[in-house]
Amino acid sequence: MQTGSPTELDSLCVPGSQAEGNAGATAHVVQGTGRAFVTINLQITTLTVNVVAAADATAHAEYTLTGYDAQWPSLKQIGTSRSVDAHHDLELQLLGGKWLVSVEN
Amino acid sequence: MAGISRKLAALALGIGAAGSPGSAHAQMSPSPTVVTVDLQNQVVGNTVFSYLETQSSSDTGTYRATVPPHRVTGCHYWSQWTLIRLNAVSHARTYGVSIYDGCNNDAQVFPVPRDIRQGSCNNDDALYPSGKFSVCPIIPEGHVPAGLPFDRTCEALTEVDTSLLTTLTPQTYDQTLPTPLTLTTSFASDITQRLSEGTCTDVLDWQAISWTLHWPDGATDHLAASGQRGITATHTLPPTPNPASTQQQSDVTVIAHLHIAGQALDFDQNGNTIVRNVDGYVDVSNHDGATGAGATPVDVPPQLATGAIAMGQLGDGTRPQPDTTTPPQQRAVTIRGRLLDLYPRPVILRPGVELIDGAEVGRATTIITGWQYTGPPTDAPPSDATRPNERGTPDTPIAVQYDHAERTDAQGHPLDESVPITMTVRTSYPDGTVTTTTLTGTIAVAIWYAGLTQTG
Repeated sequence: MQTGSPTELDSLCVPGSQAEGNAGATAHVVQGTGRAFVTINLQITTLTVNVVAAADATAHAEYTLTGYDAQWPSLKQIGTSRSVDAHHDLELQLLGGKWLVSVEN
Repeated sequence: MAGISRKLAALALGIGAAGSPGSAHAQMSPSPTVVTVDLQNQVVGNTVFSYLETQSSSDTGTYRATVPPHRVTGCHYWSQWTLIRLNAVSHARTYGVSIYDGCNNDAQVFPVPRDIRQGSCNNDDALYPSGKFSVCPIIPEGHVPAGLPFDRTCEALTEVDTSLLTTLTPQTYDQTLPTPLTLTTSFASDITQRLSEGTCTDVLDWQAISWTLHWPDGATDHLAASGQRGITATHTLPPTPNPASTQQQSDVTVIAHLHIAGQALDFDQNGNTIVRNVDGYVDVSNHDGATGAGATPVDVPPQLATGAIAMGQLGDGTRPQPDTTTPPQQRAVTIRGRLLDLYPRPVILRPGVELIDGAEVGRATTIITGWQYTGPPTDAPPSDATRPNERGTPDTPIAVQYDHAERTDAQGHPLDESVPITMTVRTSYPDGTVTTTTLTGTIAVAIWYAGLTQTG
């Protein structure tokens, strides 16, 4: 994924949904502050998926990002490498044969 | 479900990020990526301008940014405002605002209002998502949305109507009889505030530049400017033969065409707030159907010609002052061998007029501000003569003299002398518009001479 760009994230969201509206938030922070986090490794520690209907599902994910803070757009490293634990609760819809995120909590 | 897992992994890459640098240990992200919004205020003059500001939070930090109510280039949020509710008592206005993300192909954003009382919407879930508003701020009395253009988009002009007061007498009349109606209008003391709220502008000055009256018999009157005062007008209704009912309620539609000047808070292309000057026109009416942004007055320039007030030297050698009550002429008469003072003035063949919606609402005035004589030397004594290319003011004359008789052409017809001149004139229209133009032409001078004619 390109740092500071919401394009790939947007392609995973239901068009017009709350999740799509949030897809650009990280890009705003990156471009607005001139700082980014470069991920070197992603470790998903927990992934729970519950299909509640034929085209609706919920998911809970916990994961660890390893990487470093960087200036944007040069991506020059700032400080030492570090890890971040994160979690997301998602609502998904099956559209056109693809599971897409509609709500992010 | 494997498909979901792969997508979640990719999503996590996009959403996940780090907190403060320098930590060697894993940190729990405090919250998912979120966008919140709240209403900010900035005072300009006597008006509070309100605008939305988002806060985007991710694990790399937070970033606050204004949300201009029009599209801006680059990676910025922007919005569209629609007035959805107006409280006639409190004058509070509720807007439905759709926020779009310029970073993400203008996808609509649904941020969380930081003050739920300020920004929550009762969107109809049955609507397609694009029909929903992102946030619904309430703008209280004395506040106006920032950055909305000076046109119907402000969508609050109906508020101004409450400040146009009209009285029509008699209130009822007998339709079978000719009835003179008398209309009196005035503006309420709060009109400046209502204009500010109605035009999303801090109004510094306003003037009624004309009025349009639509009488119940279909007649329309256009009345001239009245500044900040109301008007009084009369109109006699003709009798209606065989009316359905004899008694009729008096009615008239009054439209005041206002010019306003003020200042407004707006946004530059980077979303930074700026204060800009505002100059525009507003129509205010006592009837709902006639409100809205006013038609821009059209100034039709006058049709002018060069002329002068001519004052001949008297027999005792004195040179009288110009008679300013005399209209200027394009042709003057002089006596051979005497000085002729020409006080240049424009001859107004057709006056300039100001039109609103095609109707004449006032006439322009045109005056001279300066002149230049562009002809050759005449026979005037050097001490009195106006020299070639000499310039002057409206109070000074072009002095010419001809010591010869009127010339004639081959057919014996008299040929007038020509006094070529360039004059600068200024035309002022009722709405305050002033234009300056240059006229070039000639003033014809016929030479007469004293003599005796014996017939018989």
